[in-house]
Amino acid sequence: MKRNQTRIIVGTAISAAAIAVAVDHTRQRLPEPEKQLAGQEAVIIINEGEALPGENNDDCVKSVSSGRRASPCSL
Amino acid sequence: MRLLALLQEMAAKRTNAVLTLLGNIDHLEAEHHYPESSLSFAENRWRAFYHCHETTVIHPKEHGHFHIFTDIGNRIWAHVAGLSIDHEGQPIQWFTVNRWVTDGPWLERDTFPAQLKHAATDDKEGNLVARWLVALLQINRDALSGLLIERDEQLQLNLKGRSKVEALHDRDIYTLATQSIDLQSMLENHLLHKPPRTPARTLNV
Repeated sequence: MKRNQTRIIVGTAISAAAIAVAVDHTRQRLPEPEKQLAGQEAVIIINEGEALPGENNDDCVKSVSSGRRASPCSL
Repeated sequence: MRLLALLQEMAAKRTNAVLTLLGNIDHLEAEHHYPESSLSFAENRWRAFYHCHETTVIHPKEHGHFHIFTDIGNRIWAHVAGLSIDHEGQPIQWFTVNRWVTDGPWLERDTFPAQLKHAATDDKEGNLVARWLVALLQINRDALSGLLIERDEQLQLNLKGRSKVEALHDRDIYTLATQSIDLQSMLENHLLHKPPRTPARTLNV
């Protein structure tokens, strides 16, 4: 009896077609970005005698968005 | 093999890394970071976020890009590279940018291989997008090392009598080096040992 007439190949066969199918099926349209929402305006109530926001401390005026304008891709 | 397995996992769900990351958001907002607090992975030694710009175009076919950072010690994050994604969620290009764009310390290119070893410890059960990013970083280890070399060479060429620190803050220099990605060719090269289709490497300032 010829033992080597048939061979069973165990494992996963990787082919160019398998790669192409995997890549192709991940081609899915992404949603279009909308423009950045404008900063929300807020009403600030200041009691008589209180300092205006940012009047005494420049650091308070610095915002996250201004930081990102300076370095638009920072963490 | 790992990258292919991850792609097959996404393919089965008819999704991709960006759609997975975005989840069920109603509106994709330009300039916003996704996820907002960034994605931590590789035992919190790496971080990344995805965003789209309103005006800046890194690649003509780009939808948006990932920015990938690594912890160089004491939770100080250095930018490693950007990864441009097209409108169908496919990676199309690695790029590096000038320091002012991402802020933080300048990643010394010699430290990159050691930093990447930390990413190799990523949890196999972790976030799918994080595992996809790690797999892409690892399969492109040599290309990224080359990109960082080109980044530094390009910066050197643009010193023009200035100090390196001055050049790193020059807002006329945005992208420093780019490296095209052909995902299918890349996988065929790694898994089937097919010669890669030569990617176009360009330098932009």
